[in-house]
Amino acid sequence: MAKKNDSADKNVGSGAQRKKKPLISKLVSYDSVVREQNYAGGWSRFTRVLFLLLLLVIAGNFVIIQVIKGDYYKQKANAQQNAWRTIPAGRGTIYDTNGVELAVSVAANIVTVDPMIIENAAVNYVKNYVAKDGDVYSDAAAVDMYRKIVAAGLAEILKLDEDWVFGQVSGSGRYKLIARKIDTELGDKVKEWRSEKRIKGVYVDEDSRRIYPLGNLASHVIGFTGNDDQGLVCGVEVALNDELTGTDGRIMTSVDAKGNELPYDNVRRIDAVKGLNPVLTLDANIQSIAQTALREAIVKYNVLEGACAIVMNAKNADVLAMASYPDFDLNDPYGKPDWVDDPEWIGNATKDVQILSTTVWRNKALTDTYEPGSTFKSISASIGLEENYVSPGTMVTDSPLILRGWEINCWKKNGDHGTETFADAIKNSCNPILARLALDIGVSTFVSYIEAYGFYDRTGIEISGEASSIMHSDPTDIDLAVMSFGQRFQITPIQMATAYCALANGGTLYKPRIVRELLDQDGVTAKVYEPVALRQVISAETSAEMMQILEDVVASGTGSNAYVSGYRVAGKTGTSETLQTESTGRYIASFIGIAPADDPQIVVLVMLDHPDVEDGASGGRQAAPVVGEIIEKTLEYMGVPRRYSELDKKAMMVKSYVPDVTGLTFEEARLELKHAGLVMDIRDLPENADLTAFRVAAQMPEMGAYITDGSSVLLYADASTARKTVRMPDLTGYTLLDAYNTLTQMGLNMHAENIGTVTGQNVEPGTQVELGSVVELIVENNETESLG
Amino acid sequence: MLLSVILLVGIGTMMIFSASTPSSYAKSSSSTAYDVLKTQIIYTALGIGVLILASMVDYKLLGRFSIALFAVSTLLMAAVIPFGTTRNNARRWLKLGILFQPSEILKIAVVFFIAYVLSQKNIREKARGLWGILIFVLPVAVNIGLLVLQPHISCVLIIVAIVALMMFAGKVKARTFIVTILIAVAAIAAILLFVKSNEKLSLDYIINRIAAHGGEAESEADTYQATQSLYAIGSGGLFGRGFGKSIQKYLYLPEPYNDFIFSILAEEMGLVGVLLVISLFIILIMRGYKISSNAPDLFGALTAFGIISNVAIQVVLNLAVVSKLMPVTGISLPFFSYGGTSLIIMMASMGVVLNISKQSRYSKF
Repeated sequence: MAKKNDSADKNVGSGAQRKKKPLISKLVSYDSVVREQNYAGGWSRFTRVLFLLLLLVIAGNFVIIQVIKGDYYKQKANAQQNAWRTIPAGRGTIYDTNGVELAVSVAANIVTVDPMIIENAAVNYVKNYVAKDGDVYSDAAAVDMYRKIVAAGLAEILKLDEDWVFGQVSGSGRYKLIARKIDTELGDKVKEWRSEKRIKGVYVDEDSRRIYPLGNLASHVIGFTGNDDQGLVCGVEVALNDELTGTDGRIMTSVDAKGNELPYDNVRRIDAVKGLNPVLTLDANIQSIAQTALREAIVKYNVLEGACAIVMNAKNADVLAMASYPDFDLNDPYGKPDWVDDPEWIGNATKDVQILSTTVWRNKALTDTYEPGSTFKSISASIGLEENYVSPGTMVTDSPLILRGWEINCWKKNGDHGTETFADAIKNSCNPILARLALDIGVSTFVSYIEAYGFYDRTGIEISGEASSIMHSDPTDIDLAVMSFGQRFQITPIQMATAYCALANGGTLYKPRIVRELLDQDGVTAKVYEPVALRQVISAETSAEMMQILEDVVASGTGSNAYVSGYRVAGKTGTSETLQTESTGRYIASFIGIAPADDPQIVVLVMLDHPDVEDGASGGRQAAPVVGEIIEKTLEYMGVPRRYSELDKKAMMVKSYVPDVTGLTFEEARLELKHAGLVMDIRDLPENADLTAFRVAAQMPEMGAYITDGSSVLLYADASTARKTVRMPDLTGYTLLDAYNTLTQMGLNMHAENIGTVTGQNVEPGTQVELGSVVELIVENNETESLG
Repeated sequence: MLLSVILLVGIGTMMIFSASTPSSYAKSSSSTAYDVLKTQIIYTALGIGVLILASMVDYKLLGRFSIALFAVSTLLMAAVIPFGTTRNNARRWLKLGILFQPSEILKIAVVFFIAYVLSQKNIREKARGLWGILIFVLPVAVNIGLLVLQPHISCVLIIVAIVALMMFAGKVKARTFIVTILIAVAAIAAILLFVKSNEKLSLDYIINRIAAHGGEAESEADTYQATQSLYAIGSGGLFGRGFGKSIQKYLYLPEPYNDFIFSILAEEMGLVGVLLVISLFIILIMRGYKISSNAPDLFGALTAFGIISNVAIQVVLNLAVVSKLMPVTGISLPFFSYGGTSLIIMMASMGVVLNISKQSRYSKF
């Protein structure tokens, strides 16, 4: 049937076309031939193939998009789909060598507001929580009211200026900072207030705050951090910023186009990796000893331009302490220094920072260059010994050296030290002898040694701020002569201390080390900073010879003020000029000590910048005692046993008979006692009393007592003054010196016939004893404690 | 063929469910993930009913109503202009009890109309010369004009393509064909000019889209949809993220359950799903054309041809758009895209094709 129709159609169509209107028939013709074979193959085949091809092309394109370029699109898609909240990584903790925390990060909060949300929430808030029945507020009034509520609340909790908070709350844009690094307790208070008052637009987020538990301790070494937890200005915080900074973690969530988290579980958490924890070589105890000694010296000697002290492990140049004054509290680095008189002090204003960075933030131990003066003579001497130009016993002459019209004299007024051994020349710090030696050695050899000692390069200590030395680039013989005793060139204290370590430890120059290792989160060592031995500068023999020479300097030379009873101290004084010397009288008093001299453990450098004292700046007078104190306390802390030398014994065994001073004026009594080698201790007169106006009524101990040289005699202006008593301690087992120190501190005197360990005492422990009484000690001579 | 239709509809419904959940959530808190799904299931059920019904009705009967159908759909089209509902700046919907798109009805009406006109002896005999052209060009042109006013340019494209293919398939003489196309182009041009002079109806969006597609510097806004679609497809990879795990559907892709549903399918099912669906479409289209070839009469052949061409054109255009081979136009994917009118009409027309297949000269379906 279909067939028939089809052919009929065709016939009709073509027939009509042929018969009628041939012109139009050319244009319009329903030549729809519907024969069977046409259905199968003809017109529909083309369309079919066309669509098949199109779909295959499209399928091919999908293969390209999904497989070949899949990763690219996936990445792009991830970028927009994943939102993350940052989990702040804690900054590493800085430890001292014993694990004492020097810098720690604690959780804190940051408070921000979103002025836009506050503005939007205002109308509803006022309507729901403020307005009473019938109250109607305009939108503007509601916004103002709500802003005030928010500002007042935040200002009260956070103790901020309300007007300022109002300004932030009313600001344009989004997320205005209100307070950061606030205690989490305060943050919790804000949260409480927020939920209680149903406040919208106030955010409390995680923040962290750096805390320095020890405040001023080693402030220059540790350094401090800025708002974004980055190290600023100085110290380990800057030098190891990358190591200290952890990797922030992320909580990744898929979000829709509006930033909302998606419903199903595709949260990925990348934990924050806390920064590494540096362990320093620095010892908080030794640092504290150094800072205390330095601070006292600054007051005592009226040091005008600050001071610094470095304590190093002589064996490998580990920095045990590094103090610089003026210093600052790490918890308030922008605080106004006491001596600044500026009512408008802000701290982070440019002018304030200028002041801070040139004074309290300045690490003089690294940043200040100075003329080493006589402390450099040890270096020169070691070169002479090493190159065999001299030996300690070589006889040398201290006569003035005239070089190209310049005359180099010994510092000694009225002449010189004449002919002496080379060791004595160092002890006496004779300039002409060092100058002659340097000229003998010659420029190139001398300079090569100075280079080897590291004076031309920065030491490369981990913490920043180290200055370059200022050296002669091409020294003439005059330069060389002057250089030999430490003048007309400038080096940094750290260079000097490092060189002295080499001098002390057998001749090896180390790179000074302040960071020992880095610990990871679990306390496992992640990186070790090994001591770096740079080179052998002098031989062990030369080093030993130098120690002997320098010990003499302290035992009987210019450095005697650094002497510590029971410890063998070697060292060298230095009093150097600065460029401003002529106009201001500004001198630098310095001393470098090494102890114990026979087995050097520590090198201590103290530099006092412009001590303003009547008898003049002097390394021996002002810096040496500071070094002595630091050495004594440090070695005691380190548990290095005191070993008494002959000198100690001698000092301990020198005794004095107490004279009768009653009836004399106090001034007369003082002179009388001084003559006897004793010190007076006035008990009942005001501090500023006129000593010539009062007479001694009573004394303790009485005349005839035989006590250790240098002990105190208590004097009373009124015989009826109540005598104070103290409880007698048990001194059994003490060394004689310890016993002496203990009794002296309590105000008692001592008499013993021997050096060694205390085995008995004439006063029972626990008895009340009058101040000034003489305690008889029985001491067993103990040879191991004596050097003999 | 029935199998591929059912598979397609099944996959389509699943995908609509998956793709629509985020939008449902986003619209309001009260709506559930199943809102869109529910409606679509109802339409699917209806569609299947309509399909079965249509497959039982002798298609030859439909021929007699084709002119009436065309007239009604033209009326509906005309009614959209004053009474229609506007969404996304286009007035395409009409609310008569339910909201529907008359243009969807128009597409199928055009197929029947052209098939009928081309297959009727008496019409052919009478309609000669210019008449012969006008008899189908004019009514179609009127509707095209109405579409432009909506505006619904993609539908214009589809209808023009269907008419052209049917004329081609109906063995209209080349010259006739060319003249028709020329007239159509001229008419469209005239309408476009008219529209352009009328500032109310801005067609800038079309121009922008096309410019954006071809332009070197693709501005973010104009290619946003296409780019997001590529992200979706690309992140599907070989095996996809897994059903329901599309991320791009979360408001990145506008109307993910509509024109860009295939992107979501690609994202969730990967290349495997993509190739499966494309294969199903190929089977459907090839099979449809086969039915057309084997139709018992010219009307049946042309009707099946038109219906299948409609499907094929939409599939090709939609897939080309989502894979950024073409500028973005609002062409939905048959059996997949959300939309009641579209699905029911599509299912009904499949029913017609099945009926034609039943009466095939060679094989019974």
